Amino acid sequence: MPIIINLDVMLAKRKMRSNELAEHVGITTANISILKTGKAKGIRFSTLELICEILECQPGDIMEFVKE
Amino acid sequence: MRKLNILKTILDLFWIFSLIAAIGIVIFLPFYLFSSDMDIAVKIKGQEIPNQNAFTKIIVFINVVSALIFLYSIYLLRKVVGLFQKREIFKTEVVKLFNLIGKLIVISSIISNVSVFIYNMVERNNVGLSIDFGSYDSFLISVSIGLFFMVISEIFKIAMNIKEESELII
Repeated sequence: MPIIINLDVMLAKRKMRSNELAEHVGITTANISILKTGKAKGIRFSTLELICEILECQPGDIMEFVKE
Repeated sequence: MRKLNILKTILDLFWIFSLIAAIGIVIFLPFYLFSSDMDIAVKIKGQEIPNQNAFTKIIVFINVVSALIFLYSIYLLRKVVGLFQKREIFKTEVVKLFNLIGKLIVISSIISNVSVFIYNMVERNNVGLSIDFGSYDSFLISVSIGLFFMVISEIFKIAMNIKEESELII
């Protein structure tokens, strides 16, 4: 998929662990893992909103479009 | 899920009674096929078969095979309903079973009807096609039911993919 998820980069910048983020967002660590590995087919606006709020970033900071 | 339980019970009853009949027929069939002095009235689709020559015996054998294929499709349907009771609905096994049930019903119906058609043509010199109106026993209805199961299989396949995709939306 041409949409790349850079969640792990953002997590490293904020020095936050996946399970901490999962806890704050209210989703399972398995789902965070699906998101990080790029297996996810989509992301809800509500989830994106919470991730951006917790990581204090913009949606563009955690995902980018790369032409195949 | 009450309807599912009722369906399972009806299928179980039908399966048990049909199985008893099928075992009886399978035991009796070799005696009928290989003995020349047995005078037993055999009925296929309501038609009595009076002359017991090699040809009619083959027709009877083909119809027994068709009935056994139909019985196997009922067994598979019970299996699918059992999976539904375990909440295993959108699974690859269900898709495969529905497709197989559909194919078996179509094959069984074609085998049975073609053999009866040939019997009527050869033994009774009666070439004709009839469409039973308002009956579930019609050839067209049984083939349609088989095809419907195959369509259901395709629909379940689509639903399974949608479910998998929805599970990957975070």
